[in-house]
Amino acid sequence: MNASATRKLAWILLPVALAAGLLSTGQTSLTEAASALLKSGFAGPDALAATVARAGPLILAGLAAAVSFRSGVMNLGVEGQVYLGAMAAAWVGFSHPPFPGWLHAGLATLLAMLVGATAAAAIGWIHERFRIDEVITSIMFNYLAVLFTAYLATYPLKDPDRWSGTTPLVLPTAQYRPLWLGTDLTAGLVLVILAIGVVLWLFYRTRLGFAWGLCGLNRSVTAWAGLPTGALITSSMALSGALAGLGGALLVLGLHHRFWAGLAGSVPWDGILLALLADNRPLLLAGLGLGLAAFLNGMTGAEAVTQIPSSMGQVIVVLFLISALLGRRQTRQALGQEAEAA
Amino acid sequence: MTAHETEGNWIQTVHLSKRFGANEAVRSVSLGVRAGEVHAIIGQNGAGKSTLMHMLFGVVQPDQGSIHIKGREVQLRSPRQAIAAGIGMVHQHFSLAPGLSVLENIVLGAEPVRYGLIDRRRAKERAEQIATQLGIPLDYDAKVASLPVGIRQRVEIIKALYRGTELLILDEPTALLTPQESRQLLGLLRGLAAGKIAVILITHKLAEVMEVADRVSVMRQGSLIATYPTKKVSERLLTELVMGGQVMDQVRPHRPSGDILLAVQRLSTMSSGRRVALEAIDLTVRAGEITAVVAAAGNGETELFEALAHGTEITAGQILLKERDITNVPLGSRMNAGLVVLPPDRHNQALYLMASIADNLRAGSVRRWWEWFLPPDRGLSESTIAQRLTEFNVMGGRPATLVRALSGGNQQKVALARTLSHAPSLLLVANPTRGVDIASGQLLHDRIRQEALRGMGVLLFTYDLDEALSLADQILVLYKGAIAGSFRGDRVTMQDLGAAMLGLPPTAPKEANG
Repeated sequence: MNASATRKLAWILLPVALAAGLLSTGQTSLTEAASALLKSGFAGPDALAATVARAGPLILAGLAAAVSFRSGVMNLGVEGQVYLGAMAAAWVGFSHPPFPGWLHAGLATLLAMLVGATAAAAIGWIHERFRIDEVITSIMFNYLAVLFTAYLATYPLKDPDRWSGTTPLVLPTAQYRPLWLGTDLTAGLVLVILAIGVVLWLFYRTRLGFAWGLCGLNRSVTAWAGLPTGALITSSMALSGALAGLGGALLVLGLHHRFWAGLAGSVPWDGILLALLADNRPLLLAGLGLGLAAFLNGMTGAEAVTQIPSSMGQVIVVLFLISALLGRRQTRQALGQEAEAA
Repeated sequence: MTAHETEGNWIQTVHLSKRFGANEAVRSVSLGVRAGEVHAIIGQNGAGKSTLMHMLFGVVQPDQGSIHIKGREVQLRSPRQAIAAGIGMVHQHFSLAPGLSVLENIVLGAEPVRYGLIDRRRAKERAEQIATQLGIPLDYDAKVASLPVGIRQRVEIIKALYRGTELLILDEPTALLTPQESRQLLGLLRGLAAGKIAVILITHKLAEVMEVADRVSVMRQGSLIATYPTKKVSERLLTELVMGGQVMDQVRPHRPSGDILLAVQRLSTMSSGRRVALEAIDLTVRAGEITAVVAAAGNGETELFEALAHGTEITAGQILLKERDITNVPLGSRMNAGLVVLPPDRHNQALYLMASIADNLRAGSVRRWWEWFLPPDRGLSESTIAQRLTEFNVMGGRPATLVRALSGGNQQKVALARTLSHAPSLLLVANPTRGVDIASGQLLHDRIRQEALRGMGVLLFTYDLDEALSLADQILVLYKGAIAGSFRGDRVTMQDLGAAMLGLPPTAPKEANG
């Protein structure tokens, strides 16, 4: 094994060792804790279905981030766009529509994507037009979107039969149809696979995706090559927001069937981490998303055995992320040196 | 090698060799440099100059041979050790922190400390002492980002001297400088030598060698061919040694020209910040004609170039390309109309360093929206690209090679190859051979001439008057944002151009109609 592979392995084993250390602090042996974790993450069709269902929104949020990162803009407003999309889907979903029922879920999804796309494109446009840093605007936008949707769920769109700030249940016509009864696997899975396919196609098979990548490499060179950088940035932000909005729709129409404040939890930011980890590569991102979902579900199972709070899973995820990013930095530096010498 | 042979030299390499894979980059080089001399090293890109300097600066370890400083053998395993041994290097691309002030950059990593804090006063005193000795006035509180290239370079030099450098290596220091800045730098180098500092100057410009160097060493294919006192060689001999028997650049005869391709009429722009306003620029470029625009730096040449490429800040006037008004359209539409642009800054404007050659050649816009969804390769297969690289003699370049792995000359060939792949009617190009070795420069010139012979119009912006004189049918001089002179390429002398660049009236009635 060569030095770089050894180094890579070390960066993977380090957080695994830390996770093992953490699990062994519970009330059971490490092996029991680990087997409980693996069992509720992977073992059996139900566990697998739950993992896949949980991975869907993560992957969509990750793709949303990856599309913007590829073109060199940091859409950190994925969270806000997920919430706007979720609220739009919920609103269309619980309303009795003046159109045939078979259109209901589709229209709710489309509006969710449109809302997310508009919000993100606006951030991109502000960046291009006024040269305001999109990292700042998109983070601030999250507050606007999250608080605005919380307001809607608390006052005008509140479910009158409930105390807390939630919207009414979406009508059955607007819910994604279950693919496999008794699990959370719904037609939403098809949308996730479709989204992965579309992003793959755009990134690697079209001039648009190639041009996004060029913008990400160096915007000045791209402008001197005669490419419309402003339109490229805005379009990539629009797709990014649409994917985030779709993620929100999936949370509401596929999983929870109503909107409430805080519904997305850590999904949007986990998605951003996935994009960073996967270096914006869609398939790797999807794989890591599945792994993350399995792990998070597994931690819930392990909690029952070990009494270690499942939220410690987030701690381990962060350790893994830091380790992975450090490992990648190392290999990048090594590559850089080779290129220098050549 | 015995002790007496290394005597008198501040640094002496003995049979130094380095190999990268199959490539013998440096072959048994024994080079001595004395304290108090400016020692020029010339050679084509890939001749081994950079590798040799990297060994002296501890970046690369030699496979064989040894390095002696003041007669004692030393091991330089890192730049840190080289700096400790008294060696300083000013790179082609500066290594200053743009957000810090001049003083902070100078002392960075070698700060005098008092009570655990940086002693700014002592730092400034020492920096000032060095600067005054060299006669360089500096604004120590200015942010480096706000300074022009020439000043940044002086900061680099003072930074090196601040660390007690006794041997200063400069890698193509004038590549990015204007003629005036270059002249000042060369004067500075003489001053350093007078202060008993050994100076190694790597350059492609023979005129500089003749002007400033005491001795000159020629490298070819990794070997040190010869070292001469500069007084005893001619520029011509040096060229022959560098090229190894290849043909020299020829001046092109003036040819009659075709239809008007580009007509710029009364073009004016706003001045903002440091930018110069253009005042009613008129110019035409005909098919098959090469028109050069020359200027002393900062007389509106950048502004004119950007106005022609992007339409930046145009307030009045018109740009017509083949009788089509392109004054207010974006660059993409100009390119669709037949214009191509090769901008002056290879690393920030012309090329993606971190992308492959193939991806660089495939970068470009589309004419109709649905073309965004076509495959990105633009019909440029790997083999087509490989063929084009052979055609442009891009050495060491395969389609998948990262552009940053290429030498400056080969990068520029890739940039020109991409530009010409659009089958343009008009080429807008700035400083195509700046920082490029002689052989690559000739290839680039030849390609531009060939395209002009086939009917392409060329508008060449350059600071290199020799380049303008050897290529152009028509030479325009910009002075303070206006055209101060228009000359026929075959009837103009360096003196005429120089006078016009300084805003002086022409000495003889040599002005011709554009």
